[in-house]
Amino acid sequence: MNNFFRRALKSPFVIGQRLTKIPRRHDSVVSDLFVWRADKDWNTYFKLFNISSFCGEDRVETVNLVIFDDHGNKIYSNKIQLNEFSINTLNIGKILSNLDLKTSFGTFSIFHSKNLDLFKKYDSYCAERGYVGYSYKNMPLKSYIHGNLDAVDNNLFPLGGTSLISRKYNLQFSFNFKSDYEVAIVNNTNKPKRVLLNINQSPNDIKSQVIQPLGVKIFLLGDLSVRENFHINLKSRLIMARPIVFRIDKNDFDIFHG
Amino acid sequence: MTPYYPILEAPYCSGETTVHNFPPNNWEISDRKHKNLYVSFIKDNFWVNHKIDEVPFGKSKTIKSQDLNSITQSSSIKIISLSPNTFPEKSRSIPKLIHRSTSTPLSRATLSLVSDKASTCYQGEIVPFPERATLLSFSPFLQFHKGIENFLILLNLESNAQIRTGNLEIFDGRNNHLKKTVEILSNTVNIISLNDIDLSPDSFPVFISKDMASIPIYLSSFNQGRQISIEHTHPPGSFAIHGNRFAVQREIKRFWFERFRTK
Repeated sequence: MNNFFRRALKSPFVIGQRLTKIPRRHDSVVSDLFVWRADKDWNTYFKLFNISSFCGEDRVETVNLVIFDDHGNKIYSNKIQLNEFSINTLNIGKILSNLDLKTSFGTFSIFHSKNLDLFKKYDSYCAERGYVGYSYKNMPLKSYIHGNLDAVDNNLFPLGGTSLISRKYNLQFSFNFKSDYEVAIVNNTNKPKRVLLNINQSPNDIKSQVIQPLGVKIFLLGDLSVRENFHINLKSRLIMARPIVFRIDKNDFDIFHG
Repeated sequence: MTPYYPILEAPYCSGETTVHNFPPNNWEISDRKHKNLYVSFIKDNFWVNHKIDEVPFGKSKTIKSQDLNSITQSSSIKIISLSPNTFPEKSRSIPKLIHRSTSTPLSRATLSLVSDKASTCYQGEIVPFPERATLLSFSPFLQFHKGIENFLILLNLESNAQIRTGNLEIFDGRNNHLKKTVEILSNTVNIISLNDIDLSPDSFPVFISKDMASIPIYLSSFNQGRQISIEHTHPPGSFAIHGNRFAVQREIKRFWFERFRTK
């Protein structure tokens, strides 16, 4: 098949479908939609930078922490002041401990106080894409991952694009059938999205979840019948359904972006 | 852009890289071909490109660092490539990968560190850095607890088959104090201990090299590998989205390089 026809076949995936929309206002700031987990086994930490001082602008900066439940409902917000050239650690489980929650996971975002002059100068927007640490049971090390989706602006407007037709995200990871995995997907669009998780392209191993805007769902892979290493793909109308993968073994765990 | 895949190295661990001969999505054009699996390393100022296997379309293949001991004892970075084409046995620059690959995201491999008791990984890749490039990394990943050690692993890949020397400087970002200067090498997996520079949970360590760019990976290890954790930091341009992020990054680097008045 020549290049013209190959490109023509791909055009429904491309035309008018941005991975990340441009915020409506030039002074907007943007955040990833980070996943939190907080229960008897899990806790979540966030490493928060004073981006303004890191860029040579205001020394003291205030950020707005907004926490959502798994359905994308806002359940908490609070302003936090950051000192110059500092890295603060937020303990999300501790922050949520006073709330009467019906879920043990959800999402959160961090909005810096303003779009910096440096970013405006180059038609850019301040983005919090920082670093989440997860602790599991009494294991001494946290497992850290970086942010991955420029998901939402400070008016809580989701910035993720929606695909005209379903598309597949093939996780380039070989799952070890001896380990337990949990696969988390966030919805950074303004409409609910159905996500189908398929194992080894088999029609018998499909899991399905509907994820609300700004929400998250976790697929549990511990009940699979497969007895060999396997691949998964995620089919949805998200532009890029890149998940977070939690691997859990008896004395070890690891978390990474898929 | 078609990426290469390094094999990681670290104390108490060995590196494993799992490559995947299938694209990460179904909406970009990519080759669906059987591919040759190469390892490239530097010997006598040449890249030596050694074919180690073939990978059918749709399959994954894991290369362990110990698998390469019979092929090379080179101290340079070992680079894994998937290519439908045949590589020359030796080359002055790393062979270009000319097949189609995706961009959103780039095709990635699973880069793992494995100890006797634990393992950790990230989905990653590497593309050659220009020689005139720099590094600025703020680390939030250091962990502090009895039995925990922290290391910085700097991955550098440049196209030319040479190993240059440069410096990495580690500063305390709060007071501009230089904590440590370390010699680093291009085309090498540089392993730098962070256990001898008096860092604490309140520290704000800043890592700078004006001599070469690298991927900065931070490893925390508990009880000599009983539990391990890695993650890399974003380049400073990732504080911004849209617009000219490269210009933003250039100005952030200029600010920090002047702040520390490095050489």
